[in-house]
Parts: sequence; structure tokens; C-alpha cells
Amino acid sequence: MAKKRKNGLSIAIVALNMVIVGIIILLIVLIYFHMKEDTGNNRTDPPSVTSSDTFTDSESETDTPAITHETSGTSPITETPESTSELPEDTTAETEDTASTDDLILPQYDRTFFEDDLFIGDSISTGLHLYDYLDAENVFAEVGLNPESAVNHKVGDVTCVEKAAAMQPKHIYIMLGTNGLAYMDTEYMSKKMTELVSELEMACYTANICIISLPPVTKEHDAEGKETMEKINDYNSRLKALCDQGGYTYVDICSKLSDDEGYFSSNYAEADGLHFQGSAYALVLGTIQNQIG
Amino acid sequence: MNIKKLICAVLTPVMLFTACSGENNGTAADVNPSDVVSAVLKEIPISSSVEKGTEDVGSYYSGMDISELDSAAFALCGSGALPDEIGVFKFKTSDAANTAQDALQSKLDSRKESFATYTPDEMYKLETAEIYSVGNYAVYIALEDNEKAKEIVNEKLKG
Repeated sequence: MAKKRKNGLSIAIVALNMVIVGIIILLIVLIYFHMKEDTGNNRTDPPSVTSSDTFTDSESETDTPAITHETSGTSPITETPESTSELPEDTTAETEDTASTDDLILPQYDRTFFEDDLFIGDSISTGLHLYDYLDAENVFAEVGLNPESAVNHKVGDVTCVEKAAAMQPKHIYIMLGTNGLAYMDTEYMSKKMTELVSELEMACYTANICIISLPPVTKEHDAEGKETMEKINDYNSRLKALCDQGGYTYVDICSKLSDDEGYFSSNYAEADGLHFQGSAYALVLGTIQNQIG
Repeated sequence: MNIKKLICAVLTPVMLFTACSGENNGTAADVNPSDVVSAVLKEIPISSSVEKGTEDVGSYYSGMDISELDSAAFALCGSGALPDEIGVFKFKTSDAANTAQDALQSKLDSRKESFATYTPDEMYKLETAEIYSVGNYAVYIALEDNEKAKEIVNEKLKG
């Protein structure tokens, strides 16, 4: 009697197990279809991610199944200088003038001409390699750099003087000052530029040091009163005097980039009236090569 | 005794299914970084954007171990006027992707320092920037709408 009850209970447990498994399978199927429907409605369900500020445990990461490293179709995208993307609609670029940028006749420049040279500059100069006009190794540039900060500021663990000393470039081109105009005296900036040039000269006594004039600003930017053409022209005069006295080369790009009124031509100016469109770099490099070469 | 058997019978299949479902957490699909970057730029464009690839990582992101890098794509404002930037880096291992976050954080700190006095109006993009890893991928986002960009990236990495 007891054995019969035991057998009956075992059968009941197996049956119960099967019912539970069935219910769970049914639930999974229902959840799967529900999620599929959600994806179709563009509802996102972010994957488990590890934020830098909360990352403490790498165990879950190492549990990640190995990812197949399929290299086909992973070719990097490197834009040519001409292939910049369109500006967003909310920018104030003078589209009427920039539309004619393709028609500009720009002086030729040879990339190899600059392969032993070093450019030192601010955010404007970062475009020299970001737009792929020059290799990154030929450019020492950082957002916000000015004649005062340039001597000690490090980019990638080295200062511009240390980089120049290690590289021993044939030519050193310096274009700095736009960032200081809003809050520094032009006399003070030219004094700091003199100090920077002296440091570079000591580090690279065979290099030809070239000081590039500050580029112009657009009429609209000038009206804001921070970086004005009056200050730019004054500073450029000081830079030219510095070059004349020290025997350095002065390259005037300001007049090359200006329109008939003496402001930054909309053919070359970015929407902010201060930075360069890609075409401006070609003009600057072509102008330098014509003068130096 | 019978009650114990009943509890075991109920719990066993439940535990079995719970254990199975935990294996697929935290995975990332095998996607091309440039596809992810393009998807983000399509929704959140960068003014004067330039797009760079694997060979440019070493010169731009100092401190990143490029020997562990499989492929990468990043885009930023070419004129240097804006801090906008998106980078997706696929590494050979998830550990390398985690480690890369340090280099990306250094880059972010440096950008914050530069832009703080340069264009303070743009600082919100850096203040709300996202640096994280998913499987073998490390991600850097400093854009107009970082939350939306992160959603797009995660959706693409999910496959």
C-alpha cells in the first residue's frame, strides 16, 4: 500500500515537472515574440555597458564570448581634404560664397616639401593634419594654444620645443596669437613670441624659423569685438618687425585670405568667422611653399 | 518529506532556466566601427566633420595601446572650432577595451582643459561626454546630444 503511494507520488512529481517546464517554455516564447515586436517598433533596449566611472569588475567582460575579428569591410575612412561633410543647418556659414569654393584657384603645394618641417599652432593648425594636408608628425597644435602658453604646454607628453629638438626640422612654422587677442596685449604677445622663437632657435640651431601672420577674421566676427582686424593688423606688424630684426622669415597669409574689405573671405572662413575651411589650408601651404621654395 | 520533494521538483527547472539565461549578458555584436560612427553622424552631425580610421588612432589618442587594436573609426570637427567627437574602437580583447578607457579619459580631460576658456558655451558636450566599453569595443562620445548618440551606438553594437 505504502509502495503504491510512493509510485503514485513519483508519477505526480514527474508530471508536475513537465507542466512547469512547459509553462516556462511558453513564457519564453511569449517574451521572445514580445521583444521582437518591440524591436520592430524601434524601441531600444541598451546592452549591458560598463561606464568608465562605474567600471570596477571586469569579470563580466571576460565572460563575453569571443568576437570573430572579421576584417572585411572594416577599411578605415580617411577623408581627403576636399571631402568635408556638410555644415548643419543651424550654422551661419555664408553658403552663397562657400558654394563657389570649388571654383577657387589655389596655389599648388607639395606634401613632400613639408615632410621635414614642423608647424606649431593652435586649433586652426590642428586642421593641417585633421584635414589630411600634412602628416600628424609634422604638426604640433592644440586648441587654445597662444604665444604665452606654447613654451610649456604639452601635447602627447612633449612640449613643442622638446618635439622640435627631437625632430630637428628643416623649417619651423609658427602661427600663434589668435587665442590671446581677446585678453592679451599685442606687445606682450609679441614679447612671448620672441621668447618662444629663442627657445626653438636654441633647440634647433640649423632650422629656418618662419613666423606666419595671424589670419584675418570675418566682418561679423570683428564686430563682436574680441578678435578684431585692428588687433590682428597691429600684432602682425609686430611679428614682421620681429622677423626683420631676428633674421626670421615672415609669411603673410592675412592678405591672401582677406576679401576686398580686408576681412576674412567667406571663401575660406568657417561659420565662426575665425577658423579655416579646408580650402584655406591649401592656400596657406601653397603660399608658404611659393615663398620658401 | 513529500513537501520537500515537491519544492525540489518546482525549483529544479526554474533554476535550470535561470542559469541558462545568464550566459548571454554583456555581449557585443561583431560590427564595423565606421558603420557605428556613420550611424551616429547621420543623426547628430558634426560641423566640418572629418572622419579618421585605424591608422590615425596612434597619433591622435596618445596612450592607447594600438597593438591591441583591431580596427577603429572616429570623427571630429576638422577646423578645431568645436569639441564634437565620436570614436568607436574595436580591440582584440575586452580587457584591452576596458584599459583603453584610461587613454580616452585623458583625451577628454585634455579637451575639457582646452575648451574651458576657449569656447565655454561648448563645454556641455564635454561635461556630458560618455566613455565606456561593451565587450571588445571602447566608445568615446562628446556631441550635441550624448544620450541619443549612446543609444545609437548601443543599438548598433547590439547587432
